Amino acid sequence: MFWLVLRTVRRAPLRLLLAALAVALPVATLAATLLYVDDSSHVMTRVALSPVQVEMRAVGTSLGIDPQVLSKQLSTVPGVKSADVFGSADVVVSAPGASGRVSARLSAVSPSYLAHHPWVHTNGDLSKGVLLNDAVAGSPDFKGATRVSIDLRGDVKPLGVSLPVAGRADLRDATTWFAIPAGDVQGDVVVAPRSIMVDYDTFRRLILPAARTALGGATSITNPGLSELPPVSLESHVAVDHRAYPTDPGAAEVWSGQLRRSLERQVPGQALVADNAAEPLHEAGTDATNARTLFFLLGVPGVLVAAALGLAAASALAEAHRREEALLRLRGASDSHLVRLAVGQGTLAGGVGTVIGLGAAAAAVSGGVGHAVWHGIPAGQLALAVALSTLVGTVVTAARLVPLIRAGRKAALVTDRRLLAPPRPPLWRRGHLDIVAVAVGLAILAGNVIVGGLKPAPVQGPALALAFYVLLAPLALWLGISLLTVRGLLRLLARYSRPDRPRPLTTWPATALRWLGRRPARASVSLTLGVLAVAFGTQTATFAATYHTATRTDARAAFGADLRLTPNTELVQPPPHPGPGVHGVTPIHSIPARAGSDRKTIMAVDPASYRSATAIAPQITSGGGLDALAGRPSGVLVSQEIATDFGVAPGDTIPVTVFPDDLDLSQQLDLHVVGVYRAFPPTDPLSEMVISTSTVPNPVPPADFYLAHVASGHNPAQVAAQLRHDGSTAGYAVSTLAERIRQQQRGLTALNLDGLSRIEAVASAGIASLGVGVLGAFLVMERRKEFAILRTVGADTPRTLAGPLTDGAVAVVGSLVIGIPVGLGLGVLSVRVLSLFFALPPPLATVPWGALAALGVLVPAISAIGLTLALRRINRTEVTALLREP
Amino acid sequence: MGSSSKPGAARTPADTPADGLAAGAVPAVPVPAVPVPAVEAVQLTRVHRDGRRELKSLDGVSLTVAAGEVVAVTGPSGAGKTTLLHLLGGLDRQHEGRVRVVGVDWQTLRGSDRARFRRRNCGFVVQGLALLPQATAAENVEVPLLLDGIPAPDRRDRVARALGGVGLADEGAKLPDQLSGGQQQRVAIARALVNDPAVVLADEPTGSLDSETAASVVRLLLAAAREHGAAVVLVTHDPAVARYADTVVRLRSGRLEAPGGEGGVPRTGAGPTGGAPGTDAGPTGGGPADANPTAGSPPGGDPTGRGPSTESPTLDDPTTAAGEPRTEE
Repeated sequence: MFWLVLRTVRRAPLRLLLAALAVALPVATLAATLLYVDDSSHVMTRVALSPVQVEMRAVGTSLGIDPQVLSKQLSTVPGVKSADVFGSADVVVSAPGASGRVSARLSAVSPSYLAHHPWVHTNGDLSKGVLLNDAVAGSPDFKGATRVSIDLRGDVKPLGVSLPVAGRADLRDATTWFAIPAGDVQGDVVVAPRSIMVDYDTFRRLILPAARTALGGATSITNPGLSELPPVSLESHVAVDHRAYPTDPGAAEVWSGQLRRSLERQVPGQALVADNAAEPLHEAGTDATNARTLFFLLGVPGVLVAAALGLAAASALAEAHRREEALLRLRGASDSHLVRLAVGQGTLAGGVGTVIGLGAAAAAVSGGVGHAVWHGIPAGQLALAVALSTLVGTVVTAARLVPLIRAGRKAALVTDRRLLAPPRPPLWRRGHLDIVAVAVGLAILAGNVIVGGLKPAPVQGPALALAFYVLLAPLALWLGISLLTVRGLLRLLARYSRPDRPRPLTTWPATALRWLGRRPARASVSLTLGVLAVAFGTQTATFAATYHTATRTDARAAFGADLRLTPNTELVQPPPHPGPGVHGVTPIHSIPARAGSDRKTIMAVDPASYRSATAIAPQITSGGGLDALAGRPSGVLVSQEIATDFGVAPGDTIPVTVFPDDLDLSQQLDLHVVGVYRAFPPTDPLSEMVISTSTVPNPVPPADFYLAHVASGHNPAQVAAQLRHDGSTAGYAVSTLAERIRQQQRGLTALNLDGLSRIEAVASAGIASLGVGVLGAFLVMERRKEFAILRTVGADTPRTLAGPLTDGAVAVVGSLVIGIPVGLGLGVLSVRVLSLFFALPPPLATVPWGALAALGVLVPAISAIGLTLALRRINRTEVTALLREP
Repeated sequence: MGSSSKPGAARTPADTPADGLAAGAVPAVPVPAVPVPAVEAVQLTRVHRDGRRELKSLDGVSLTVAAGEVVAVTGPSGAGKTTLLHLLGGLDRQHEGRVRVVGVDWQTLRGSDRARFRRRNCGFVVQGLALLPQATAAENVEVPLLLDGIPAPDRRDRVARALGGVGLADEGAKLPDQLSGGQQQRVAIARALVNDPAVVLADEPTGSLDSETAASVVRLLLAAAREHGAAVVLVTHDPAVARYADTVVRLRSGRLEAPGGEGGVPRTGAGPTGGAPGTDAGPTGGGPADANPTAGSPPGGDPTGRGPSTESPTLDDPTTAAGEPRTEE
């Protein structure tokens, strides 16, 4: 049997290729989608880990441990890149000859630590003394000080430690050092206003013994109610090799948890290990799940339409297969032989098609993402994508084989009769699949509206509880509306061409159209495939374009303005005075606060200058906005999460403690909620409440940064370059929105859908065009004799080919005219369904003019090529040979 | 049936109604000054290639058919009957020798001129049920007229007449699959005749019909010859059908058989000719129309002394027909 299969392949290689193409199309579409999402998930893992300063933080459970030994033990655990000692303590600092003393947080690390952790900015040699932050160095008692004295805070014996001042340290970015290491509020960052740094060896020799004496070796680290930094802490900061994490965020989170337990087992009872990577990995895992959902929504229609196209293309082989079977029967082949031959041919075609599809998908995605996709995806995921795609190929192969096998078991006469019978309408028309699909889609949407629509899950914060079934609505409507429209068009054509209303023929093109209406089966296959493909491509492109717009809007909201001016020091300094080209400047203050037991960040803005300096308006969901804030001295705008968590609404009062970690400035305020917002730019860094700077108790701390809006007609990048050059913003770092967008963002908006959009648009154009190409193949095979008849009655070449040209034109024009509006509508619906993935409400839809133009050119162009090839073949066929065919 | 032209008058592209598409493009085709045979084939040879082998499906066949004459071409399968018909209708161009229809050599026509000439001068009834399946009976008949640019009212009248002439006046709105086999064949005949062609070429027109229906179909073809002066070349396997013809020629292995069944040149009657045009004039030689009493004779003329119009066989009983068709073998 094998040799017979090979012989048939050798005799008709094009038939094998067409059959393989039928399998390759859906395999390629699914594989491309899966590979793209896997590659994107891989990026999300890396992006999620990138801001984590210390992946694992082992905090000693007593002051009796030796962090150096601890670090040595921990560094032997597989996956650990390095482990550095870290000590910290609450201290009071004074300068010789000065009467004042200030409280500060002392951090002690070895000089090698600084080489591993670039987010600690120092200016001076740590081994030669103490480094002060700007807040300490800038206070009146320390101006010009060359030495400082350090004592433990509280009622303990003075240490008598005096160290030379060796330089400055900027610890504003060192959030891990100030994060509460354990307890219910683990991870909350304490905003310590003053901090100093010493070498760990100095700490171990001069400070730690006294601390052990004073505190007796106990720490508060094991206290579940811990809400402050421990007075003294001995730690080992473990850096984990990022390459050791599984690239799938979900798997990486699990692996990270296992590593944490391994580290604790390595030093039993000596340390508690905090997994700082767990939360971002968990969020990335959620994002990856959402991304997969998103890709499902975007990709599955393509797989379906590709499979339909593949089967339609393969059905063009039915006649050739029938002839081959008849010949083999004449030569004595039994039903069993024919079935085995069909299975052999189908399996070979399926295998070849799967390989072609996988190769095409890998090439397309690699081209789309700009690197070899198989290098970025772990073997397991790659294998899963290949397996799923192969499964689709197997299903399509089986769908092809079943009718062939059934035909092989029937007598040739029965087969002939079946072929001679007038074609029945396709299954979807007989089963009213279009109406069913539309009804299902509408029912899903109605049900979703009745239960309240998509809502953020309150417990999970920004993560969404997205019901899977809701995503089926656009899918069902895509299928239903496309098919329903095709049904309507075919009915119109049939009405136009009813034979029981005798009318003279008018023109030859009109005649061709009239005849098409009476025999629409093949053209309707092409039209259906074309409409589905174009609608799918348009929907994907519309969603991607809207997503792109929303992502930029999110970035603008995060950045807040055209320019951001960040002071280089923590000291109070004159506000920037940018010159021409800048329309307005406004200060933004981040005020640490505590509401209940939770640490929160309040953003203080200047209502008078805010509007002129920001690029995007706040999204207020209830109550007043900026005006309400300006009109009430104790007013506060709260985020939706705060409003939900604290159960407050406009008119309510919410008590907060500002500067909770600064004993000198700490103060309780009763703020009156004047409004609730969904987003208040700048949304990065995240602030849960917004107050006016006039509400902040004096002394108002220096602004964290300034927002600036460039004057009309000016380019932000050029203005930023000018500001950096002319020195008008000396002491400030100038950054632009474009630079911000270039940085990789976290979350779903970090996904770059452009590549997917390109792949899907090209695939849909290809599918629509191939649909017309399949029509051409059908025409060549089915209407040969008709062309010959027209020749005998004296039709010239243009008029002989007018019929198939009309069929092709109807398929192409119909695909575009129906598919594009349907796709645009479904694109809008998809954006609505997924709107909560965005920080700001996305626009109704961004019309992807470029993609639509590409579809409008690609589909007719590729179709024209396919149809021209078919027509050339028809035209070259000898009429006399056609007339002799039975 | 349409009768705008005189029986036997040779029509060329130049004197047929011109439509907007065709008028300016018609080449200058020489119009013979004297009556010409409707069909004239001279030394036709058709070679098919199968790999390196060459097969002659026609080998030096000459034939002349006069206007109004009915010629039956018989012979076993593979003898070259259909090939001959295709060459006569200009559907096949790969041949040696010459074919003239109403004096116009097919070789001088190209592209759309060739198509236009065919639809105005040749009516085809091809093998099998060869109607356009998506067109109604009336539309099938109307197609050649539409292609020819005939105005709609004129077309309507001529289609009605053509369908009426084949007894299908009330069936015009039906699609082919709603008609019986005999009705479909009659529609095909109506389509072949609707343009009043000079030549009707029919390939097994009764092949798939019962004898009664076959008789009615043949009757229509004979009527075409009689009433419109069209030359009819009829390929058939059926001896009963062949008997209706004025002339029967038999092909075997691509050659015309001599009388008695041996290969060679027929010696009597109009039709097959053994020599080059003009070299063997007269009924026995089948030379050019002007030298052949058959060729150019009006219907009813009697090239053999038993003209079809006066002694044509009765369709009800061809075997008892007063005039036995001449068998050129």
